[in-house]
Amino acid sequence: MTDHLTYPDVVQLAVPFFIIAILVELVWIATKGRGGRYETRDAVTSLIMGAGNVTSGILLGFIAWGFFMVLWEITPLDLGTSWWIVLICFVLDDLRYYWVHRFGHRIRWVWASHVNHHSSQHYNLTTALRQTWTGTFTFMMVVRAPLILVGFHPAMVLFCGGLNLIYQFWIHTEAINRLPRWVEAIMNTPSHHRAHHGRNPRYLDCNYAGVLIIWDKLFGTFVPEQDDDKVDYGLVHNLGTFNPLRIAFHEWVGIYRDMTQRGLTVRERLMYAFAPPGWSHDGSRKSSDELKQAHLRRHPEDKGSAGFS
Amino acid sequence: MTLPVLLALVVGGIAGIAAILHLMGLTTPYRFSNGHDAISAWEREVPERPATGFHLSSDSRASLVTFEGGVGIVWSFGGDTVARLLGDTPPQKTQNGLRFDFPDFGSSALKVRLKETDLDIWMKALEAQ
Ligand SMILES: [Zn+2]
Ligand SMILES: [Zn+2]
Repeated sequence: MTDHLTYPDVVQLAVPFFIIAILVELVWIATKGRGGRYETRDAVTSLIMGAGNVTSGILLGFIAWGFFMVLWEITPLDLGTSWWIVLICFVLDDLRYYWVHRFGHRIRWVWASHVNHHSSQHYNLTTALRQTWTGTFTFMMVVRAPLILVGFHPAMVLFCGGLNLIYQFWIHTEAINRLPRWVEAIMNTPSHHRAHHGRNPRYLDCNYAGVLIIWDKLFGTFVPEQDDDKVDYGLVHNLGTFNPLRIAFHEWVGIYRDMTQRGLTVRERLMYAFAPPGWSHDGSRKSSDELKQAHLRRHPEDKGSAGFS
Repeated sequence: MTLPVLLALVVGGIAGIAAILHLMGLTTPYRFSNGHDAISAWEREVPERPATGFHLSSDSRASLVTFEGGVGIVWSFGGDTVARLLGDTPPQKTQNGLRFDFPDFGSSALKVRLKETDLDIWMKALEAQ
């Protein structure tokens, strides 16, 4: 029935809005003298990564789309297109986003793609657009399979995913401190997502939410932003390059080099690809859990506080 | 949205934002105002290796940092800083200083400006490790 369903490509349509919002944030920072930091090369790099993400979607999008259409052929279920089905689809796709994002931080193969979004030491609206070029190669489209198999049309699922990404754009700002309590309780907000971008040990591996923060509360990954632990944005090992190619591929190169070292067992080679980031066969690197433990050895007073339990 | 319109928006948007940021003076690179600055930048990035000494570059955009058992470098990266431990590969001499190539693909090569006297100090510290 709904084989030829089409929805607008909302992310492309949002491009003019992105540009205007960035200019508004800039004017806000310039006039108020607070609420964020911009640096030319950092911002331009983020924007180029965003443009590259859209390009890779145009070039490689057919792979995920083809996969989804095969599933749609197989499934006998069709939930139709009423507005409340779209709403349920949006909420379930947000749950899908939570898990893909969590895998993105806990499986190095997926992190190799997502790391890019965290590679800026700044946190402003351009950071939101610093997106991966290599998402297709993580094969995380399989996490969407259940949605399509239960009868949500692939075009609807992608439409909801696009809306999800657009929602996440505006939360990449320091210009908004805290929102009313009920919003902070239910929704992903600038404050919650700032914590997610922190390289402070406290904030590693927290707040994976897309739109609804309830998933983090449900699955035990919620850490509220602490006023006495200012978020230090970026990576545990910050990048020393503005070269978009290095940014897009550095972790893939790292995986390749680690896996092809001499003298490793097959298991060790696989662990370099699929274990959490920071895993090493000789203990020479630190995973996020080990970084948290090392922090607590230096700062025992933080024991039991948010992010350290 | 047709592809040419999208392309024009993206290219125009990036160029326009770049021009505005530059005109607002936001391209000025970070400089260490003193050694304390360099050490705190180092310890932000490498907290498990407390610094025991530092040698600023002649333009204050980089600093060699010594720690128990090794040496590293911290440098100005846009408006921020980045740090790396230095391994066995010695830097290359250039016309006005040194060039460091890092083994990780996430760092471009770094050129450090060093006057004659600073260069001597850096070379000695690098050889001493
Ligand atoms: Zn993330
Ligand atoms: Zn983000």
